[in-house]
Amino acid sequence: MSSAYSIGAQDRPPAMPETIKFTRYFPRRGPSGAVVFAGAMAIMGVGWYYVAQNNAERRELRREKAWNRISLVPLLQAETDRDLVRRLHSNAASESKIMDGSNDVKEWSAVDLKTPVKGIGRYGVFDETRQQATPVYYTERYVQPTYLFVAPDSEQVIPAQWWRGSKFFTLNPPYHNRADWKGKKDPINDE
Amino acid sequence: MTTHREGIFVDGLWVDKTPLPDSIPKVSEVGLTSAPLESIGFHFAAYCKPFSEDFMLCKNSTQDPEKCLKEGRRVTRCALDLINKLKANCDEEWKKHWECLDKKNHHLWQCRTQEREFNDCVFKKLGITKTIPDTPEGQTPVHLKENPFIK
Repeated sequence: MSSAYSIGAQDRPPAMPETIKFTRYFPRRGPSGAVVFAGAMAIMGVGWYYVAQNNAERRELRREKAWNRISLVPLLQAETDRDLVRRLHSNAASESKIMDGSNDVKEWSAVDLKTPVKGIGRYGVFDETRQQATPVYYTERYVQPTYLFVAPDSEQVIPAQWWRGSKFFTLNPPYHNRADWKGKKDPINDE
Repeated sequence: MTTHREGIFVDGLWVDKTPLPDSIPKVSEVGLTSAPLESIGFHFAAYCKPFSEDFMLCKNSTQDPEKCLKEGRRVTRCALDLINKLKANCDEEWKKHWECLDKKNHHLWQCRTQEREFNDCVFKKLGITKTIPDTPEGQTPVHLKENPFIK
C-alpha cells in the first residue's frame, strides 16, 4: 500500500480538522535491511577483531610454554638416561647372581635380547623341546627391554599398597608426610 | 622425544637403590624442582646450547642410553654451572619469580613483572637473553608485550 491514500470526505466535528486515520498504515522508514545487517556485522566485527588478537596472543603463549619445555628436554633426558643405565646394570647384576647358582642353564646372557635363546624357533614359535635357539631381535639397533625380571622375594620389590596395615582393616594412608603418621616407614622416600 | 617409558608394575613397585657402577664417572645431579626449572628454561637453552645440541644429535643417532652418557654429563655440568652463577648473581629475583610461578599454577603469563626483573638482572650480570624460537617476524615476543590481553 502506498503512503498516499485518499479516503474522501469524512464527517468530523469542527474541533477535529485532521482526517481520521483508520486504515493500515505502516510507513517504510528507518534503516533498510542491508543497513541493519551491515551494522550488526560491524558490531560483531569489532568483537571478532579482539577475539582474533586474543587467539594470536594465546598461540604465542602456547609457543612460549612449548619451547620452555623443549629447552629442558636434554637436561631431563640425561638424568633419566643415567637412572635407566643404573637400574639396568643393577638388574643384570642380580640376574647374574641368580643364574650363577643354578646348574640347569649354562649359556645365558643377562638382559640381552640379541643372543640366541633356547626354546625360540624360527618365526618366533615356541619350541618345548628346546632344540632350536634363535635370538629375540636380529637388528643392529639398540632394543630397550620390555620386561625385566625382579625376584618376588627380593628386597627391591615393595608391595604397591605398603601403607596398609592389613588387607581388611586399612590404616589412614599417609598424606603429604603427615606429622602424626604412626604407621610403617615410607620405603621409597624415607632413608 | 624421550626414550623412557614408565614401567607398568603388576604386583608391586620396584625401587632399586644400588648406585651407578664405578666404571661410569659420577656427576652431581641438578636438584631443581619444577618452578625454578621452568623459570630458567630459556636461559638454559641459550647458555648451554652447544652441549644440548651435541646431546640431542647423539640421541638421534642411537636409542642406547649408555652411548650418550658423556654428552649427558656435559649437559648436567653446564646446567649446574648456570645455576651456581644465578645463585651468586640474581638469587633474589630468581626466587621471587619461581615463588610467583608456584602460586600461579606455573603460568608464565601471570608472573611477568617478576620475570622482567629476573631477565633484566640475568642480562646485566650474565649476558643471557630469553628468545622464543619461531616467533613470527615483526611481532613483539609475547613476554615483552606492553599491554597484553591475557595477564
